[in-house]
Amino acid sequence: MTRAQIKTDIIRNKYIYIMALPVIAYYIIFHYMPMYGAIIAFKEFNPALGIIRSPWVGFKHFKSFFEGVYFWRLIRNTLLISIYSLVWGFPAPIILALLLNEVKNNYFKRTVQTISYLPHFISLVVVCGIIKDFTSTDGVINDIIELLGGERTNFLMKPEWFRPIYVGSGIWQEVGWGSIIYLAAITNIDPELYEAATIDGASRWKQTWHITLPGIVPTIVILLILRLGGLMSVGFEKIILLYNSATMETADVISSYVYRRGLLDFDYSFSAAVGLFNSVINLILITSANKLSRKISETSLW
Amino acid sequence: MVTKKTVGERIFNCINITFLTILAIACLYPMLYVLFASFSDPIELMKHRGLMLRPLGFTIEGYKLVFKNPSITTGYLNTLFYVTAGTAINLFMTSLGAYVLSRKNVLWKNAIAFMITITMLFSGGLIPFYLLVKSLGMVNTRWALIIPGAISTYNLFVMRTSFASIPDSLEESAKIDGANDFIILFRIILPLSKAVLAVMTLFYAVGHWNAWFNAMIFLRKRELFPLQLILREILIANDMQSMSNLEGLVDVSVQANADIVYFARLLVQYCTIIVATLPILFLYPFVQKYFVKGVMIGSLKG
Amino acid sequence: MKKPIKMISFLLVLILTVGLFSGCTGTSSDKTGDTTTKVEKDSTDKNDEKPAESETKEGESEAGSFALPIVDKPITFTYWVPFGGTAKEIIPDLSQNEVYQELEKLTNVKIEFIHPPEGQETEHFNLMISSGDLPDIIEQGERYKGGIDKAIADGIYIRLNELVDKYAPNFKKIIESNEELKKQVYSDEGNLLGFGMITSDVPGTSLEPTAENPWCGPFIRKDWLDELGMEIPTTIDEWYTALKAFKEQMNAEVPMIWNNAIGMEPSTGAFVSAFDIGPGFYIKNGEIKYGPIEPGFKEYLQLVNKWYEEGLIDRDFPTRDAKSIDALVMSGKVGAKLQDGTALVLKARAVGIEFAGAPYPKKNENSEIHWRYKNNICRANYGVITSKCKNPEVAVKWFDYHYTEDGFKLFNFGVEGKSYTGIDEKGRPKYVEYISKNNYQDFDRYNSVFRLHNGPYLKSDLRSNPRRWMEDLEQYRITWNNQPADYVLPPITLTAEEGAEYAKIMSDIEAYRNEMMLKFIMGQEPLDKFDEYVNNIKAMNIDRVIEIYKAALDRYNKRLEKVD
Repeated sequence: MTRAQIKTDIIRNKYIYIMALPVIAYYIIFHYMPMYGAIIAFKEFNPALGIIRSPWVGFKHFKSFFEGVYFWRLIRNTLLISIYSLVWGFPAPIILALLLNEVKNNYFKRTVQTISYLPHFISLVVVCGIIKDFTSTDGVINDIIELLGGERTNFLMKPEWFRPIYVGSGIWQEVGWGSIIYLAAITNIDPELYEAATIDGASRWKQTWHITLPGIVPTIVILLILRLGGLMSVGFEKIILLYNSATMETADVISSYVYRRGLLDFDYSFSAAVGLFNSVINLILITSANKLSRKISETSLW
Repeated sequence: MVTKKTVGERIFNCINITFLTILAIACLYPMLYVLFASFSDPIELMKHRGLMLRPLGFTIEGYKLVFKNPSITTGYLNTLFYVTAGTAINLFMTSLGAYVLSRKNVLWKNAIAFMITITMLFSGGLIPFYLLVKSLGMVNTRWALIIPGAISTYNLFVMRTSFASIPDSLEESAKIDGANDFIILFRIILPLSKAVLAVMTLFYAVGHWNAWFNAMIFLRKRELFPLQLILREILIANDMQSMSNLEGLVDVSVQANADIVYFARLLVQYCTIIVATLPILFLYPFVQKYFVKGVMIGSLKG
Repeated sequence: MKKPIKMISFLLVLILTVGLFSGCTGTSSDKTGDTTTKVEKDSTDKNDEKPAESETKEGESEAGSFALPIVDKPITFTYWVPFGGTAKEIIPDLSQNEVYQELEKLTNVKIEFIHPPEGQETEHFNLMISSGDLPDIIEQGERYKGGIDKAIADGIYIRLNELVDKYAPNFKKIIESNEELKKQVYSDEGNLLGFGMITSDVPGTSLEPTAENPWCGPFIRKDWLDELGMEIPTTIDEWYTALKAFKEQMNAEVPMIWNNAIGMEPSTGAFVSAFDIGPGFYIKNGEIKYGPIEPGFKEYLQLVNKWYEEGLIDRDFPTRDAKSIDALVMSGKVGAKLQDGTALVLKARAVGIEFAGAPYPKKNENSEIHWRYKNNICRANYGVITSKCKNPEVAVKWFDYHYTEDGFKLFNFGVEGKSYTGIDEKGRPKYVEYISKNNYQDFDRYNSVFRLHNGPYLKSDLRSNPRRWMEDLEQYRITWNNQPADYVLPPITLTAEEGAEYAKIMSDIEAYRNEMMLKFIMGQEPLDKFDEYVNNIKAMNIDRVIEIYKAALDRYNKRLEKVD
């Protein structure tokens, strides 16, 4: 596009550029202006000197992270927990939204919706307390297992159970909340499509498969791409509430490691370096996902 | 619309309703647990393991401890302000951004979207952010809780996806009638997007309702504190574990009745959840109203 | 080509930004103006009420050699200190604390408190330092990363040695009176660390600084022992007999409970110390050692592995948290517990379950332990003065008052006539009825209202805290205190570089040690592999950490050479 063309476009569509201004200004001021702080990952942070004047140390903190004995274990655990959460946790709210959509009784539908989003509001400490209570040797789950003739085990002491418990409880806590976006997306589907399908004699299954699901695909794709951009970010709070030395080999993730190391000696620069490393990986993931999606579907972030 | 149900559909309905009922029960349990625990006799609660299907004993001492704090009322009022004003600004800014990004032929649209995505992945950390907000003169003002978080990028993309699903024909015909972008956004797009607006309102409002971190960092004046920050204080103050040398039970055998008052601290973590969550739960029914399938576009076309 | 347009859009952004800025600040300053005046009004109201009751006392409180007021014209210092807990239900900040109110009247020094949000103290502290918004005085100056020496070198804190020599004779007298204390309050560079919380755990009226008796150690079910006709165990074998009897005769579901996932008792080291080692780093014959790789640790693991398999130790110990321990103890299923202080013992007493403190067990009758939980005489909490303070000598004088005899009474017991009416023969205050009747029960909450719980003063918890007046519980503390603690490291400090290296190495070693220890105890790994485990820890560079500790210990031992 030539300069003249750009000029005419801006003049002709001036309103849309005026609308864009506050948004761009917001991002520049509140996100880009403080972003210089990321350089602290390459410096030795000294509070007295501040970020700008702290001395440079190059890749020291990154090396310190990569050289850790458990580095690969941390990467593996982080990715596995993320991928399991994605594989099981991502479709769950979509399925719930579709199932709710099939319910014809409005009263029942609303009740289930309202109840299913309740766990989202309960703090992690309490949720993890309930999980520990249920999975302990004398917990409810073991009561049931014993009743069925099984043997009691403490699930949170078994490394192989950590991921299922983590991912499963995550779904339980967030499935209702997550389904809200899809429920809203479903309302945007043109009802005429259903009417036409009904006249053609399409079964409900077919209507769901050929109308409802395609109708929410753009939303699914966007949320999926965003989700992939967070693959390296597994929060430490829930991990440290649930893990113990017996399950470290599957439970210890990057953030919990940084947290533990911070307890010994909190190093602002070190945690910034690890954060930056995660961000770069996330950027690669989200960019690839976006590219792929632009090729396959028509939806993409940019 | 109503057609004869096939056998398969009937079976599906049964399974669906059973499944949703089980899910609802599973999701209801933690909230009930919290509710029951908040009214339970603290000593009984301390001894208790496993499922809790009713309050163990009954006391309101936990709530007394929570409401003893004189700042609770101002906290509620402040939160109400942050939720309303904050959500209003959020919706305005997010709508602008989503509209700009959902239009075709906006110059550098992809560049802007990419720039915005980057902010989800990279940040400069707390210190530069604090210095920025300080230099804007927002420290210790209500603005610090409203302006720096004016747009959630995640929500922006969700909204954009929804806007993009609205047929271009509407926009084009409006343009022919001489409408500018502001008119298109506020008169055509937004009224058609009630469902997603409702979801955004819910997400932003719940976000503001639950937020405490920025308040903690930026506010020093107690009269500006939101409810969550005050509840957090109460929670920390009453955390039995953190009171390391809690040898306060002089003459405990004599004052048997006082035990409940004393141990009521255990209940505080449950009471605060109830106190903090109940009001926001009432928002959902209002939001749900807009989830009626296909009303908007259908009515417009009809 | 595209540049001019970019410029234009950037300019537009700028204009908009400026607009936003001015808009925000304009309205916000209005608001702040409003609220500040309101606050002032509030505080003046409260001040109006108070003098009536306290004026009478001003004549009574003779300050001894201390010339009061410190300044003729009132002076104000800003003062950063964490404040919270249940006291916040009564007073919003320390300016309403009766001690500081009285102190202001006496000295003419007004303190304007800055309290960080609870749970966010570290962030707030770092923000304060890096944004340059320094107050005049900081309490808990040890929070500075890299230590107080570094803060002085960085120009954030000022060096106090000379000022203290000149203006703080009372404080100086106390720190000079005890060689161990003196080492604790000076830095490796010979700088005075600050006005610390110095403890005195002796009855009577003396101001002699001593370490507080230990807060924690092993506890065992006294009522069960009585029923079984057994004495409190003192050796490993006696413990075994007792736990076995608990399991078999008292039906104890969990004869002994452990507090956390680590598998041994990191803070108390109750059973580890029987094997002539400490639970972590310790000092033996002047040499630094790391307990988990010493031969004694293998013996320890053999013992607990045996106990674990026999069901004497909680099967689920790796997943035990405080809440489930509470539940088990309170429902009477536990025979012995090793960690935390007397809090749970008192909770259990409330439901009729009686625990007694037992000494740290010895390997056998003839052996001795060398490691136990031990308090320092100075428990940090250093009050330091920043480079922003315009009148450091006044601040130093003000701090000095905290360490006078009158200051001792004021900070420990509150305002005489208001919170207490005199002192008995054991040196304890006779608290007024209001406090003793209503607030002993909930002393924590009231603790920081009429007196100060933690702070830079000479603290006597034993005399001021009614919780410490329960003779039986105090006796357990004395029992532990009488056991030797010659392996315990003094409070050494690492430099910033050492700290970073330490964290890097130890975060891996601790994770590995914990995982292996668990496997050894639970029998998932045979103890033949102990040597392999030790070699692995050595390969993870434990020697470097020992070196770091050694250097820090050497500096610690030479501290006093640098002072004089």
